[in-house]
Amino acid sequence: MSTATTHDEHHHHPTGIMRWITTTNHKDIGTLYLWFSFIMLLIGGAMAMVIRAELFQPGMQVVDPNFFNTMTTMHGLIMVFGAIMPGMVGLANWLIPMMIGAPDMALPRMNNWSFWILPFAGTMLVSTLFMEGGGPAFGWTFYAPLSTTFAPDSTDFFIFSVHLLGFSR
Amino acid sequence: MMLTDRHFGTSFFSAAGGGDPVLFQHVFWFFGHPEVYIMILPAFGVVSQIIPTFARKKLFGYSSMVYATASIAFLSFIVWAHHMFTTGMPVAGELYFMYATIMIAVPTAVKVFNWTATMWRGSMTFETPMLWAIAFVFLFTLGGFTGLMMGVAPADMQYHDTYFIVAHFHYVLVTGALFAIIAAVYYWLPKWTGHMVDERLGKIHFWWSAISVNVLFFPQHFLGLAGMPRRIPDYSLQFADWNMVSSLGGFAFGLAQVFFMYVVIKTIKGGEKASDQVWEAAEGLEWTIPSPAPYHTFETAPEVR
Repeated sequence: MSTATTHDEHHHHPTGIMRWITTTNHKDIGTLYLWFSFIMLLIGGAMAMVIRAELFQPGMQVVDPNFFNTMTTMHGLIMVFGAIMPGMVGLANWLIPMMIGAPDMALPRMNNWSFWILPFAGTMLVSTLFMEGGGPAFGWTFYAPLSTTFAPDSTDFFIFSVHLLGFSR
Repeated sequence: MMLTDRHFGTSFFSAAGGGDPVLFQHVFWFFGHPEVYIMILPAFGVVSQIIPTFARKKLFGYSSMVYATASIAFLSFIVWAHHMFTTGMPVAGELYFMYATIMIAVPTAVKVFNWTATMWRGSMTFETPMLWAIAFVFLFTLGGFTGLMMGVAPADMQYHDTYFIVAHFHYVLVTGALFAIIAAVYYWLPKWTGHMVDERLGKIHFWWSAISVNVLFFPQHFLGLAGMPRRIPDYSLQFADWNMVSSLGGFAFGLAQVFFMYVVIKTIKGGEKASDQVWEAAEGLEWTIPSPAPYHTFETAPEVR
């Protein structure tokens, strides 16, 4: 398999932060996905810790009920859309080209864009926590009418960010 | 549709305006159920790579694995209403969704049997990725069994919206999808970084996680069967003991993942040099390139035997 080892040593690519922002390399993008996924795992995990701390003993000790509901909702959304799915996409980005002997993913520029939508969507989702009326508190399944008639204003941001998170795959 | 209901006075989902809130549930779960398989199918692939490597045998029943994956993917689109057994569907609907749901157990069982058969009489060694993969097979199957219990519509009337559901989906998503991702990271990290993972630390992380995750989620089965509803900040006193056990497991499991970050960063910074092959019996083109993988690989297509 000599062909595999004779790679181009003289490529030019930006260094520092611009390397990561402009990269079309499947390995760089895979790494970005995996770190994003891990950071979201820790954020969603911190929320799970709040949930378990409140449930440690019966009665209300740590947080108020609305914030508790916000935590369960955001924990679910962040773990599903922020941790597990990008984690799988990160693995796929790193490994599929190497497994099939391809130089890169198809449509590498779109691959880059696809990743960079994620941090913005994730930030928007987390930012709903700090909005007036609090973040979404209706469970990650956002059943109507809790998510329509009785929901806080931040729900619009939630809808948009979940669309972006799904769209970025 | 939610946006127009909220801002433009439509009432797709509001009974007051002639709409139907149950429509929302149908629309949501028609997306939501395939979504959970998006999260688990790649995990199946990861485990099917790792187990043959450390059992030093070819994957048992490759083509049946592929057909099982395809049929799970297909079935996932036609079972969404099993999340909605309590919404008052007609009996014919309940029956259809019950049978279709339980049918998913068939291809899934094919996979579990194939992984087990791959390990059968193999020359097994238990490096860190293999431990995570075996835990995946065992604990994901446990989550699958509780899934079968909930798939039985009359029984689901009891389980619906209790902690039993929480226990079920955490078994399939945490010990299923998340364990597979962690297994994959341990398996390919030497190829990505060029350094072997410290086996001792990896095994500490594994046992710490595998024990605490069961302390965390297993008692939730008991709580759910006893009738504790999910998504509530307070509960009655008879649920106190198992909730405390579950919380302690939760804190331990959370801490274990911070430890995971330490293990990964330590591997990136240094460690024993990884060979190109990394694992003795690993197969695939990614093991033919150097470790760490160079920035560009396969600029000319490799020859595949």
